[in-house]
Amino acid sequence: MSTLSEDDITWWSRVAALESKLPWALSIPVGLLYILFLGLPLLVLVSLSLEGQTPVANYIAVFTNPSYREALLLSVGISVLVTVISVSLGLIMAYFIGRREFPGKRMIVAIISFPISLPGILVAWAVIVMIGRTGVLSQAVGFITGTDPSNFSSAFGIVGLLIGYIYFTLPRATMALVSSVEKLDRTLEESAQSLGASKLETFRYVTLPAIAPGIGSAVVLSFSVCMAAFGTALLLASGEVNILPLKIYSIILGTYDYGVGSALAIVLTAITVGVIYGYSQLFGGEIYE
Amino acid sequence: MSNQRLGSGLDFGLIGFYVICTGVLAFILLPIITIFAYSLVGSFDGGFISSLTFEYYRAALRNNSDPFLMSIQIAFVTTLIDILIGVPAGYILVKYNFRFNDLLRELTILPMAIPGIVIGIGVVRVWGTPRLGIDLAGTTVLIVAVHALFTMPFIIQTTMSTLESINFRQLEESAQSLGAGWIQLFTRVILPNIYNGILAGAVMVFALSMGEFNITFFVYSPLNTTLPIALFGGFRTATVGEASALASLFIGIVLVSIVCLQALSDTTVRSSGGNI
Repeated sequence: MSTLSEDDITWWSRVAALESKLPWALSIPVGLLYILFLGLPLLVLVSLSLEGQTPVANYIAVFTNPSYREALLLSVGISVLVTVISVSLGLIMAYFIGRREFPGKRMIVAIISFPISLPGILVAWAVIVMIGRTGVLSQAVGFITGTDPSNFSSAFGIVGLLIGYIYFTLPRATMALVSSVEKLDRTLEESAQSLGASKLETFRYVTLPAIAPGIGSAVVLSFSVCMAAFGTALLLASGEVNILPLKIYSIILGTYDYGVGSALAIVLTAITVGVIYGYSQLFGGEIYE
Repeated sequence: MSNQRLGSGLDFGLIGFYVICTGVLAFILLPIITIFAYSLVGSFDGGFISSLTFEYYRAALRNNSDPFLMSIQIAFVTTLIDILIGVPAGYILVKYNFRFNDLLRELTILPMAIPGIVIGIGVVRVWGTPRLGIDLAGTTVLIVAVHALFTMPFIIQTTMSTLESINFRQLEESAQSLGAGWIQLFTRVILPNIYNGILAGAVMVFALSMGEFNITFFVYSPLNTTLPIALFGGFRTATVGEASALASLFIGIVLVSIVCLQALSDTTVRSSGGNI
């Protein structure tokens, strides 16, 4: 067997050097994907939003024009309401799932986490078959009261929107809270109670601070999902409730006013991205884990 | 357990929980059961048993076979791309501590954090007309690109958390001390160890791509309508029975994905999913 020549060794070391760069080379397509289909589109939207009489004219319009401001406030209001309901109910569910052993626990966890994987557009259909004009609940109430079921149709409008959003965010809030409740050190609570704290005081001063990151992540998830919701809203509330995403859609596809439309889109982005990064600054973890 | 003391009588906490729990579970399950029932009978006006039929499923499949196949193909290609380029990206972010590493980690989740409608409008504005000699407007390539973008954070996050859970540094050091190059190292040592985690991430990506509506809505053309787009049209035009049959088929796909996920990894379903 012949020994390796000088040339062979340099060749092999070159191959090895190239090979060590391979993972970097394989990551380039991800960078390209992000730049071409996220960075560039965002840049274009930002520059469109700055095209006005003055660079900030469109942004001033967003906050002063009553129709745009209403859309923004309505979106924030609906998202806050849904977040409060989902996180409160989710906390109760998580507290018991994380704390107790009871028959059927696995089944309950499986059912509660099921809607997380459903497409939003299906959630809209679920709302329609329940409380739409011919929905089973509308029909049931109509049958009981002996009146026309369509009187009780509330799928298309703010009620349908709220129910659809809760359907989608309650499971997320619950699952985000379960793990932090499970990690909770129970002896802390017991010592607080043995030192004379009431159940409420224990919850307020011991439990709540400990699960704050879980609550934070549930709040951020619910809020940002509601703010960004589009498909569900398009089906349930198009033309009925002017939330921000629907407003953006109708401006851009209706009037082609890309200036104001982009400014609204950038404001919406700033809000959703802002709360997510705000969370990671506050609690030092990432929301999507 | 402090709250299950002997002799304290009824456990009101547990009773209250079962009441709330029953309410929440009914809230989640009733619509699903109703959709399924509608898909079999069409309406509740007649008797349930007498109007039982598969006609709505036949009609749903007949009228939507193209979107159905289109969605499956797109989801398959998207998953493949995600694995091929997303796994190495996640690997690099965990392994190397380079400048801007933290920033890049935070940037990778942006496609999940930015509302789909914003990405959709921006992408259409940029790629809706020919650029750099490439015309992507209305093509399936554009749909796959936005699906790959939207799902990339999931595969990167999954790869990162799986790698962090297996103590891969030690594995790598032992392999490298035996003279393995990166390709050998990755395919023989790392991959077998993170295989299940990545497969679980891939199933999640497949389901997300199948259900993506918000961005797709802005980039599809009538020639490459996806299933969620067809559902959107169907909910407005088709009969209740047919739309429910289509919805039930979709719920079936999601259920199969969840069962696969559970079989592949014992981690609980993550709290983040698609957009509504």
